[in-house]
Amino acid sequence: MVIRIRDFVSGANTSEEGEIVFRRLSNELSSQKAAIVVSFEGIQTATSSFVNVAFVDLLNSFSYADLKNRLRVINSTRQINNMIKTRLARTSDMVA
Amino acid sequence: MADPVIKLPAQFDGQTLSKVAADVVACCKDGFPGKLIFDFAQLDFVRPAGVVFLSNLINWLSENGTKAGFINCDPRRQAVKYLDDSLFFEQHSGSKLSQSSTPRDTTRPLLKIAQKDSHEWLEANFVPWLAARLNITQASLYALKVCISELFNNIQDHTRYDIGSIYVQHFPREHSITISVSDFGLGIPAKVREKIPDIHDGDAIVQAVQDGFTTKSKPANKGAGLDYLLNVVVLQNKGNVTVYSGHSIVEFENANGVVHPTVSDNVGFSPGTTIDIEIRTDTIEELPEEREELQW
Repeated sequence: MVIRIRDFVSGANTSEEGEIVFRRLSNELSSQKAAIVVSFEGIQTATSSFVNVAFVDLLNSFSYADLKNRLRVINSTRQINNMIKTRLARTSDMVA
Repeated sequence: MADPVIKLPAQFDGQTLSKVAADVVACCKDGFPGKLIFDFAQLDFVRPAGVVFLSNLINWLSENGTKAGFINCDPRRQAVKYLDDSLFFEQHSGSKLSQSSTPRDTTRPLLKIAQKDSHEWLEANFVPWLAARLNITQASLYALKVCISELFNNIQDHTRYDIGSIYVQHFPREHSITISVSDFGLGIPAKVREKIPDIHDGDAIVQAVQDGFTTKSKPANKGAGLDYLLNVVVLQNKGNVTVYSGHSIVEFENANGVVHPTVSDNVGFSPGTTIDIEIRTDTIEELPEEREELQW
């Protein structure tokens, strides 16, 4: 299963765009046990507002370890990857 | 009665202009006048923060019903020509002072832009321009691009206007870039006092940049944008960030690998918020354009 972010939003800049991606990711993670591939093809960057909603809010339903096991992020950039890892790790530390 | 006149200082930057703004506020203490005149006779030298700060002050006055007028603006003087090339006069009086004035290759001219349009401008205009000037990959500038996106998201989250101004200057001989972003909203101290009522302006700005601190105007706002800015600019790039808001100016610099704030209180007045970002071009890490997979 590949979720191509660009198919749902034009960019990863705002919390509104994050909300749309969050709903898609949450549905897919809840409906199956398999890993999900998330592609950032065509997207350069992601803001904290986007990542906080699209990815960090998944921690309300899934553990950090679970997300690391089941989310494979491809066609991405260093900036996007660092933002996802940093925001998830910090929030996971805060709730641990 | 004659319109009040504000004499602009010789040195034109955020510090000197915050004193000017305090004079303007004093001038408006009995109500905002219909018109206020800015006198450019003494103007001798302009820094990028000065362009954005004065522009923001004029936008703020306009929001309060005061029209700005300009006198002694001779475009043959270098400093006035610089302002005209930045498109300052075109934005605030409807036309350039001189037909020959045009944005310089080393700048992105003064731009008033809505948050929803800012991200596309950064991707289609700012990043390609700066990458070409520095002869580096666009991917090397993605983190810096996000810093500015975060500021525009903050403007949308924390002000009623959803509009900010931006001006960018590359200083090749100084190996630096200055990016100034401003809004004429409530300002950081006033927003922070909604949560911490008695906090001073400078302390409020220092509080606002802490990761996780937010006034929570939106549930999705988790207060990470300014923390990200300081990480990228101050810690990684070893540049500086200066925040002008309310009656304080706070400069954040790298002190042995730690973000160190220097607070200047009661230095004047800054309507809304102006943020001045100074990037070193010699410490930008060059990154490949190739896409990569996230390694947990």
